[in-house]
Amino acid sequence: MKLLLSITLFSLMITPNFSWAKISVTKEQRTIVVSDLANFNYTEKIELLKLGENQDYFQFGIREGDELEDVEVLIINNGKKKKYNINNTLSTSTIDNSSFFSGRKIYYFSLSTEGRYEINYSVKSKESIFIAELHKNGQYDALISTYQIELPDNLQMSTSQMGVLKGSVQLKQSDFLDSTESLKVLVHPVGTEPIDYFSNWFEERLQELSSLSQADIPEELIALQNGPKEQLAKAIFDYVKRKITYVDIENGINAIVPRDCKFVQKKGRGDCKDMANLLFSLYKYFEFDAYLAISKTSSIKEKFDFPSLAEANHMICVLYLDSKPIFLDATENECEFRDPSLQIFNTEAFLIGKKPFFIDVSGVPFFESKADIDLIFTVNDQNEWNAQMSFSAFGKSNTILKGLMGDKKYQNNLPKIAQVLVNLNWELVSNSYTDTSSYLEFSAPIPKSNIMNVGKSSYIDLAKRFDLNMITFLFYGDTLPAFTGQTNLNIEFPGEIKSHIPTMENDSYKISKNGNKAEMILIELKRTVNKLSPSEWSEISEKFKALFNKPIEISYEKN
Amino acid sequence: MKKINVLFVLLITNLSFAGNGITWPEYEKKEIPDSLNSENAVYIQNVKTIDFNTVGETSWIVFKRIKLNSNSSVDDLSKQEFYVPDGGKLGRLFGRIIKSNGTIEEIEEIDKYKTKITEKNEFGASTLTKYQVLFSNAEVGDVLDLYYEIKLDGYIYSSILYLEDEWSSMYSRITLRNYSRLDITALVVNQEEQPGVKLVDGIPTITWEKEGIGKSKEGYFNAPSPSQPCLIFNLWSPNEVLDYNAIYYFDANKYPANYSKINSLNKILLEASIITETDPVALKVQKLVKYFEEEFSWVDNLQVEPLIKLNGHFSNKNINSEVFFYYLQKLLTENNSTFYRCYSKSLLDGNFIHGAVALEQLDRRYLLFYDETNAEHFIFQPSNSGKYYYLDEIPFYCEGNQSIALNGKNVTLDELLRVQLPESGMKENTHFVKCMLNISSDTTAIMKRDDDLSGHFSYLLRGKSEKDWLTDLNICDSLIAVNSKSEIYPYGKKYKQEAEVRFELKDLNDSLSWFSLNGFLPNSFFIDDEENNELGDYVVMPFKKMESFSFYVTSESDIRLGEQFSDKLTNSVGEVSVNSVQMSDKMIKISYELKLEKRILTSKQETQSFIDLIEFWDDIADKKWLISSIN
Repeated sequence: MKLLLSITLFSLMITPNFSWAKISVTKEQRTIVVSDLANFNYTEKIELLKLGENQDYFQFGIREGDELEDVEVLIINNGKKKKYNINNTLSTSTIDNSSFFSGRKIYYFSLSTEGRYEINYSVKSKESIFIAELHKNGQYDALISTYQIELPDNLQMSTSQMGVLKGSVQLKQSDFLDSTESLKVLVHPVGTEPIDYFSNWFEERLQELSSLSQADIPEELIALQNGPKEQLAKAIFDYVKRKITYVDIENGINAIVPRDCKFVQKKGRGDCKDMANLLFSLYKYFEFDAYLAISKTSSIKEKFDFPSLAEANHMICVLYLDSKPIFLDATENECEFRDPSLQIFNTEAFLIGKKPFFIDVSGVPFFESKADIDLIFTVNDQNEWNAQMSFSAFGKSNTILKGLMGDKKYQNNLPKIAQVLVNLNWELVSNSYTDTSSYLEFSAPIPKSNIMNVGKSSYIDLAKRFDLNMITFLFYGDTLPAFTGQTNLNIEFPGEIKSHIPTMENDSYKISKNGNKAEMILIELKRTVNKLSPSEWSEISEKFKALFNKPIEISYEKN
Repeated sequence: MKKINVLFVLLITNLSFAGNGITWPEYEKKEIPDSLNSENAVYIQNVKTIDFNTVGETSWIVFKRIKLNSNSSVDDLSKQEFYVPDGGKLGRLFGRIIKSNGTIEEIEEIDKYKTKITEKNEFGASTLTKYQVLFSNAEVGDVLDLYYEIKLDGYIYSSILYLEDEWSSMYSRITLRNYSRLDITALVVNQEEQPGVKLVDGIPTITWEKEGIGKSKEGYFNAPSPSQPCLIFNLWSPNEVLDYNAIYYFDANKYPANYSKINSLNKILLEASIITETDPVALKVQKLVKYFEEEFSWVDNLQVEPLIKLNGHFSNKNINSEVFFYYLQKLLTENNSTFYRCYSKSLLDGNFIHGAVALEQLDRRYLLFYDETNAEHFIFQPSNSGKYYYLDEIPFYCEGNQSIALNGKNVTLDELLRVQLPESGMKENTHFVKCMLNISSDTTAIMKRDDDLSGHFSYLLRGKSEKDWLTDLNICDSLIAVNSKSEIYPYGKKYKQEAEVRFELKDLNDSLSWFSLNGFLPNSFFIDDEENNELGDYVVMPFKKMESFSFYVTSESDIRLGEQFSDKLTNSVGEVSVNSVQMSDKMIKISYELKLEKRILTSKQETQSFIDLIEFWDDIADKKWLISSIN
């Protein structure tokens, strides 16, 4: 029966669930020995305590191009160390939970017996540029963590907080500044500036990878080369977006260096680096002023201002038109030329080969971003309430909306998208969308339980119909603004609003009765990057919620 | 059928290997029928071949040819996954993309991405290796070919297979090829034409194929419909038949009815005053189960060989689902009660099918026995967490399913019954609530609440999961004053509580206030986030039920309803209603009722009716009640 059961599991979606709760790492020591710029070794010694007799997994990861030289597990009883056999359970995976291709090999094995363990492994690694970050508490949040670093005489390690390290260095937790959980580092030759070395390292490797000949250039671009520059620049961006399918492949050195632009163009697939490099190569071919840039996405909160791979998780192309930078990320299908992608708004990038190397990516879209929602409540002779909603989106907000609607799955579910905005059972009345704007109309009945009739007044309960976080998520991709834009929500009732609607206003929002119309509430959200903190947003969200938490009194002529 | 047979022969001949490569079945561009064009992806071919080889292994060979119709299917299918169970290994693996312009891209390094995972389930833990295959350059309009072989240690002796899969299919096929020395038999249920065993290249082969197959639904309540065709196969000794004689033989060997070395249970239970001499046998059984529930520890791994060890387990008060049946059968035998060894399965896995033995559906063991008045009773195997079913209680997903009952002497089957397991009615699974809420401040009330529950509600509130279910049903947080239990089916259970609870009375304006009762009502019919659970065309709910909630809201001062409100939604699946009444100057009554009268939903219309009920409940449970402000 066991076999049969296993067969039925073929179709189940299962994700690994490693239990760390009963394993705690007490001590970790990493020794990094740098031979030269191209080679280094590191060894890891970990002491841990495992509670309980249940099977728990321990895992460690190395880069795909690295070589695991040795791994040994010892169990410690009364101070005596005895080899613990992991061969039966040692497994390797190139998949982690976050990414299909993580560029890492994960080794994991089970520990069953309760007690203290010592785990030792050593790794032969290439390219010292990968030594990018030292964590105060090691890789495993250990109680005690130390680093031993050995550098040859001709190399040094620049750090984000501790200046320059040379020779043989030991780092203890107490050496880290209290507020510093990790230290950004870069190994480079003595006598060079880290920022120059970092730029040169990439520039040297890119020379062979970014070269296109006339035969490689598509006809559709050749045809535009004598026309306006901007038209050609846009066509190149659209071509790469259309031609290359984004696939995240972070293996070996290609975790940080793009593949040859000709290979990528031929295969029709690539990751962010490959797409950025093809853009760069095409712009270079047509003699535009363009650069590849090491970038980070907005998911990384720390500022990218030290030349290390620690904060870099992305690559883009920066094109200068009329001496102004345009940040191009072709991985976002719906992204318009001149607008940064959603994930790089308000971040920093490192220009390869152009000083000053660090550059800020603007949080203001090139095209004005705006969303207008009109919600009109009506009531008929039978005292049945209905709602009509129309919403339109422009600029980056439209890009995000279009990303959802462009998918067949969502096209069939436009009422579901509307339900995210205002939680009612919508029916689609009409829809249209272009590259720059969308317009959709819906209608829905209001549940009888949401309407209360007392005397001459009616009260409408909208408490569970709106969630400001969902509205902003739909038009901004997140609750906090990654870019600057505006959302207007206009609510019209079938009679005069008798409830007190206080006018509330600050730089980021305004809630008011709409001017002369006694039956309307207007909510304006001005979302300006860097001017809205999580706590301010939470406050706005709560005020919005409070506004609709009470039933709203409406007075109208009843039959 | 002639056309399909020709296609089949072509496929078999075309899918061949050259060295380390593969010769793919020829691809002819096919128009997707209009009926499937709105699907995100469609199988052009979905072919599974199961080979039973000469050395006791089973090979599971899969070939899928999938057309991508949308961006979301590109996201879903450019990373395909499949699993290899522990003891199995992956054989050949190939993939390619047929681009919409006809060019072909073979997938490089296809066997690289794998991970090992351990999955725990109700029956234990199994280790699987997950393989992921990347079709990195896939685009809308492309066709993906995937071929893989999984080799399993040992034969799959019997199973039930469906042609339905993750996507709709233009052509699906299951082929069983028997290279072994065993005999293979197969039956396709709900289909007139039977595949039979044919010799193909000298190999006994069974082929079941069909054009136009719908997709299976993944949501929690979806189940195969009784009319859905399926293939049951058995691989068994030559000249023998895997029939219920064999099943009875195995069962009677494992659970001998009255093993003489097991101490007399009658005697032990009488001496311990657990039962009395005059108790009818059914009551003795129920008392024994309660004794297990209250006194015994659940231990997953208990040795039963030699069977004399059972005496030690009983005296040490250790039990599991296997040991449970030894004692039950011993007690029934000592009391001269005829019992049947019975098997059934969950309706979520499909209806129990008679006419062929499939080991897969012998999943839930139970005993059917007769008492002194010749009335029949059921006692089911407890779940692995040690949650017991009482006398005549049937696991809710077995209710209404067919089952098989076997009886005989020693190891010889004498009698075989087909038993339809009865389905409990709406009125046997009830939850009645009477709740007095005396408003004591703007934020609190003194609550006196009685919850009466029966049937499956009573089962849910049993054992270690009681506290979780009390929370899930929004009965209370922790304050239980009285907890009385009934010993008679449907095992009514009562909770009484009296406590100061949070009850927010909020001002609306100078003359009106409002409150909501949603904190005192269940959040859903059965599961969280029910409204987003995908429902197919054949849906089985856990059980029929009736719930009624009466709230009496009182105050020292006058309290008047702002409006008399009532609303009701009745449809073919059930009814949900709400009503409010001004009882006196100082008391209002608000009642909610929820009835699920139909449990098996067999059409889109019925599933929509169920969704309508969920949404209606969701709305009225959140209703704000307006009252005149209390001075």
